[in-house]
Amino acid sequence: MSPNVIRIDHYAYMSPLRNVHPGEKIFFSLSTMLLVLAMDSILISGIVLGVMSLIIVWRAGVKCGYFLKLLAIPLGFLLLGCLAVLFSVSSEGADYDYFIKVGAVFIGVSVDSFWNAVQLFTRSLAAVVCLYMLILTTPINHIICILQRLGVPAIIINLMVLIYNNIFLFVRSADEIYIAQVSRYGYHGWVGQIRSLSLLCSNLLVKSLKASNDAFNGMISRGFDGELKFVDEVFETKAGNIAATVILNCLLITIYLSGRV
Amino acid sequence: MTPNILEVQNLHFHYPDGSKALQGINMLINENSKVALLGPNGAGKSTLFLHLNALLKPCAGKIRYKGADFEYHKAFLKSLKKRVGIVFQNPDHQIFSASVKQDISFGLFNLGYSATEAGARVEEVGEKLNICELFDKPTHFLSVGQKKMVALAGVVVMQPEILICDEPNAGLDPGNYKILMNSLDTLYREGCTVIISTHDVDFAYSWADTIFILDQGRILKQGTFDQVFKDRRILEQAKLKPPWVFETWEKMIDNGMVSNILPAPRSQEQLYNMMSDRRIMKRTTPKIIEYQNV
Repeated sequence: MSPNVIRIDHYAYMSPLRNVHPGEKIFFSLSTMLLVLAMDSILISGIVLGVMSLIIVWRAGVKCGYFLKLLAIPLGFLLLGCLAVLFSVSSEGADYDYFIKVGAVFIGVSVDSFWNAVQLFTRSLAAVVCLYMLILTTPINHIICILQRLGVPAIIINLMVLIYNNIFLFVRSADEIYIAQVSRYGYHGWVGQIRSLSLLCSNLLVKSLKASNDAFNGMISRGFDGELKFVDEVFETKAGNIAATVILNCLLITIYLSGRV
Repeated sequence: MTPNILEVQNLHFHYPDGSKALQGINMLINENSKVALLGPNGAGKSTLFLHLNALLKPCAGKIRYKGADFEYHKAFLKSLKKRVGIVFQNPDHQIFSASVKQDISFGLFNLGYSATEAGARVEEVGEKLNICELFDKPTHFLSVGQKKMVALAGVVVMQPEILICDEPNAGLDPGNYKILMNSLDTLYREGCTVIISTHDVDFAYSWADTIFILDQGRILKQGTFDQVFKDRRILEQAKLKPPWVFETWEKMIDNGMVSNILPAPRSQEQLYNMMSDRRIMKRTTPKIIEYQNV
């Protein structure tokens, strides 16, 4: 019942990798992600997918079932996108290796489009998993610390934090309504589901706006003047982590280049 | 003996992050009784209540309603949610509609009432709880006391046999608290089994038939009003104070001021009546002494 967003945050705060320098984690996750996106190789994407998943499940201690559930979120979008690459429509049947004829046009798949789709799929999934590895091990305030040190403008950081907080207020409001409804026998039967859901949707905006307003009043009352300040935390740097990232990435590049020769 | 309407047997529950909320709860609740749960914050009172309404499913153990095991399929849940109503501690968590009437009627529609039947039922409950004048107000204009009554109405309208109130006095002024508790008493007289959790030991002492003391997911003690507060060690463990009426009475007995050992008084009124009763108090001739502050 607990919403996914909150569980991601929970894992980030409880993660055994929490105290690893967030800069190192960001470097590891983003550099690997960039490599995956830059190199159009299914093998490289597969390796990164494997390595990141292992880190998430073994080192970060995220439960396997939950990780798969998280993957299911982008998977839906990904599959739709890949279908569009996989199939195409043409007036010539000769364009395709496999096709069906619908009226005057041919809908079909060619070997090229098949490999394109597979590549797109693995590449995107690997990139998503790189980001998951970051957000499942790093609390938001650590990421903000690094962004601040990198000189990201205050307005962007402020927006990020406020939006992040408001997502939680929103989800919590939805969760409260949901529990209140279930306790009075909501969501049962087809009509019941529609009615409960419509009431939830129509009242969620008012309720979450009120929650957000209350939170804002709480900030104003403590002297908030439009700019958030954050405590700069001290993290322990480990050269080993940077070295491991560089070695992994060099390895990936080598595999990629040797595969092309 | 009155039959047990609810029976909780060796109930265990832990949240997904592994924190143990309930560790082997056993409870028997008589039909048409007044039950109070006492215990510090985080003792597991709310979690236990969520189980009684089948909002949470136990990790181990059983709950029975009139001898029938709780099941978690549609047909059973429908009959259960009608019979066991729960009023949450924070009315803002319970009231979600912008309109008072719509919120109160929510459960009725889920039980399949037609709009006219539901409307009539809502009016009836409004009169019973004396909140008809709130019907036309938007819910976010209500005070906490009014919200609490509307939340109660939304549950009472479903005519539950068991009414659970999680900390009914939280955030209420004494006047509104009294109105709310009078409503609960009315429901009790109509045959309802009323279960509340509270931090107000004085109230629990004067009101409840059965009192349970919870701490860290376990029941430390259960019994009638004069049994549970005798054990000081357990009260200290659950960070509770004994009810002042009970404590005063015990002190009076200890100091030999009472000539007959009677059942302890349950309210301030009873205690004061006993104090002025010559058959109960020992006669002493008043002497004027010089009282010295130590």
